[in-house]
Amino acid sequence: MKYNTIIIGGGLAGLTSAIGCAGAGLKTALISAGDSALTFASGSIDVLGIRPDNSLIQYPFEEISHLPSGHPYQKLGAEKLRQSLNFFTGHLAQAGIEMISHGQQNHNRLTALGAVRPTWLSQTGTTPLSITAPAAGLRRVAIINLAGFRDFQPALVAAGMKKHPEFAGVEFTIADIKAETLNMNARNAYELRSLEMARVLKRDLFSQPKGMTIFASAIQKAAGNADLVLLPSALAVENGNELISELEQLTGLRICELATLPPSLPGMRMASALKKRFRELGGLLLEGDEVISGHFDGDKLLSVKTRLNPNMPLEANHFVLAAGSFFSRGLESSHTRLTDKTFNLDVVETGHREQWSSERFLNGSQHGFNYFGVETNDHLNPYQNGNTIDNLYCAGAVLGGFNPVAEASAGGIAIGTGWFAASQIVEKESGK
Amino acid sequence: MRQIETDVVIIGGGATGAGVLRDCAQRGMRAILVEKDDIANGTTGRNHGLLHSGARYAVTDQHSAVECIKENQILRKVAGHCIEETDGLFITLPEDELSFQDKFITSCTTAGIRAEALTPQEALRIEPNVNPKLQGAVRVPDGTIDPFRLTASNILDAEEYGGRLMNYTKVTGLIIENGRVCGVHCINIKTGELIDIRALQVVNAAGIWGQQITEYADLSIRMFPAKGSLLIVDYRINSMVINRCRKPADADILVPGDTISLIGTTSEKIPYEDIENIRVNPSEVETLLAEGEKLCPIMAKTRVLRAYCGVRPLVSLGDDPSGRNISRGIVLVDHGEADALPGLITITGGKLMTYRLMAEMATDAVAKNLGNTKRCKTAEKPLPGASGKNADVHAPQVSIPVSGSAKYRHGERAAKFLSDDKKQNAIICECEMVTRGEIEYAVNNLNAKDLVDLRRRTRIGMGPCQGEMCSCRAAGIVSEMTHADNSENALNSIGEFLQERWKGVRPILWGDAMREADFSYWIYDNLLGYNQLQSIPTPISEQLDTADNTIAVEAV
Repeated sequence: MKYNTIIIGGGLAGLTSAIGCAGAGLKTALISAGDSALTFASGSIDVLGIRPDNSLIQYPFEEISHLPSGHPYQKLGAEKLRQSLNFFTGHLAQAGIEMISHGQQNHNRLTALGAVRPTWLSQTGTTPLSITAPAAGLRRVAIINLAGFRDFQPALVAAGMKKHPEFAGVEFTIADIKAETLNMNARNAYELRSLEMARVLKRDLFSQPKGMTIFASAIQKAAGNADLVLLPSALAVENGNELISELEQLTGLRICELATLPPSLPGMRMASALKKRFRELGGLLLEGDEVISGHFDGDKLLSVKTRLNPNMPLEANHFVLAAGSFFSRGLESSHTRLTDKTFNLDVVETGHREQWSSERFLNGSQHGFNYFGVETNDHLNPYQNGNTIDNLYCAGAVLGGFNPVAEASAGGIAIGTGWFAASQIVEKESGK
Repeated sequence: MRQIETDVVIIGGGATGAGVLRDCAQRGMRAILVEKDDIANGTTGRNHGLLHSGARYAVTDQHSAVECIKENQILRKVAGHCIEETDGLFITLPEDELSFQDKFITSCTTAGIRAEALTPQEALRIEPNVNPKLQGAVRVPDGTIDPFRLTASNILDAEEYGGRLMNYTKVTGLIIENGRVCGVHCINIKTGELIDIRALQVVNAAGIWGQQITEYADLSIRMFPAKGSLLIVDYRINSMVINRCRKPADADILVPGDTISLIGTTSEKIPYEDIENIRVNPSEVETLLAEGEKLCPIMAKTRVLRAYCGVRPLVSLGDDPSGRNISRGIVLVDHGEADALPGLITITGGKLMTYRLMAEMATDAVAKNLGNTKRCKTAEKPLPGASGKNADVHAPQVSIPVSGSAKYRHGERAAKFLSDDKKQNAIICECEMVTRGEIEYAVNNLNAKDLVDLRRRTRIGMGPCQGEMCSCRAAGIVSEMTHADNSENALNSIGEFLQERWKGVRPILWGDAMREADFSYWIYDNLLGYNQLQSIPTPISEQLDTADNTIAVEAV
């Protein structure tokens, strides 16, 4: 079986690349081992939000030229990054998710611990706060939990927001809507995870004719005259943004859902919309399988073998490696060295194990391992023992040379490099 | 400045200090224990958790061996919920002298320790993961002991007799009047409050930190700290304690504990001034891995969960800067007799195994000075929860793994939190099956003040995920339970808790541990934006008197 392109990895980078290739009419297959990092993602898209000195970035595109030379954004440049994000929001909208942004500026996303974190695009079910004045217009915030849901802690959200001097004058109300009020019939509602909570609510409440009205009046009762209502993102996966907007109309309140401890529904929602879009464009999605090795001939990758069909290598003209970082198993470490698990490509210099991490885990620590990953040329082609593999492209967290967390750049890197890989492939294939 | 008066003040919340508090309280004395951190945070909580039979010392130190087997038999009776009667194997590998076995068995028998020689086949049948190259094995009544649970139960019992724990209370000086120690100056390190506790007797049970206490009185008890490092592997790869049948050496004990196994310990002398900043070195990790593999080859393929280290308090008496007269046994000094400074007693040296005996000896000395003639009963009276997994607690609403874990940890006291209430029964830590009820019980009844304390009381966050989900959940519960202005502390304690875990993960950061760290870092710093909370500087003064503007609304 021969494809124009095979994409390895079904996260944000792989799906963006896959949509890029399939959208241009290329015969494209995407091999995905399982749930991707989107399951643990906020559902917003960060582009570049935080400087090394921890200060916030207001205009991310102006900041790109200041990044170090090995950084993936330097290979891409601001213009291509913009193009890629427009491409992405267009396709996502086609799949039913509208993203909002604050013009040329970053905005702040509120987290489930009451922190504000800079980001570029957010879903409509959340309330983007101003990057310069996050508390503008807020006097009373109601934080409402559902049926004692254990993966959302309203008291901690309030405590986190209060740590920010901006929110000093804000009054917080905390409430919990009981399982009985929501007609929930679960063995133990207190043990549900976000996904199960959404399923139970769909079955027991939202499918009933008066479900939305019951929910809206419970929210109204708990929120009083709050000018912002915060809810855990545990209401719905696919139509979550629409549900929030309907609630806002019924209650007259401004409502924001917060991505909870995993699984994060806004992230899952984005993953399923992108998969749907890829299929609509004629792409082939091979889920639950994993690439275990590649067959190389000089500077070309000819085919890959997968775990489920090791005797049937999959051939393609081009490949994109978007297998993610350590937790997605795109990268692997032993106690002496780092490798990309799939092809044994050359990786960035890691130093001795003692230098892989910092003494403090959080608190602004930048860990060496965050920068680890595959090294590439300006076209995102990796090297194997120093030789460029020119029909293989790397995208997303498998790349080295940047810190997706500390810079707040994960989404932009995934989309930018995924799109850049795809557009180079499309160009080559159309030039044939 | 707050003033408190009592009969006895005990310094140090390790097993020994907790034992003294319990013993004093049982004998009717008013007693307060002060601990600068949380209970079992020092040496007590940083060792093997091995219930020695004494066999390890039989050849080299008969006195210690006899002490161990006596206490071993007592603890099995009074602390059942802290103990697993696993038995132990002393194996002889091809590189060891098989002739040592005879001497070993004879020495054990002399000390009163049951020691039974097994053929390699017999050993492999009862312990299939032991190195199949073994030449022989001896079975002895070793076991495992949970030091956190042991200390917490001693405190709980002491409190029921009227004793009192003040954790996070650091002694800053001794109150000395007319040539007599009359109490301690303290500071509450969480609130900054200064407290003077006046007492008739002060017991220094601060272990390695005891040197600093005696220095407050210009006395000299010199400690020679020896760092010991250990590794925890994720799976219980052995069901019995495994030792080498030879003279004790580095990294030659593999102990099963709850759901994990641990290998230890290395031994390295360190300067006294380094005791607060010890960490596991890469070379120690390599030694532990290599030696552990010799005991159970399967260890090479098992994920390492974390590494940790503690400091053994070896004592030298009198003016001995060289440390040649180091004692490994129990050291009891009544400074009234030894240094003409009445009112102060130091109990130190010894082992976790002999904590009860040490407590008895110290309490006897206190009782003598106070004219109290009541007899010590700690060898007979079971600790609260001692019925362990056999406890007669019925909780039909709770799944067997949940009630089993609860009884395993708290014995009959599990009845205090296993209920028909669904909210109480909701599992918060899935790895270790800790419910909301157990967390509330630990906060209300076991002096747990934050997440790190909760880990020691309940095992929360000790499993394979190392607290990824449960730390936020538990922090939420703690902030709900305690006064609302504690929410900020709860939020901060998430960072402290993860940092505690990180200390253990960093030395073994590769493979699955790297995956887990990458994941946690992503969740906390990206999804939850934790770092954004830390980078807002908040002065201490403001933290303390921030007006609380949270309004709690009843559930609707």
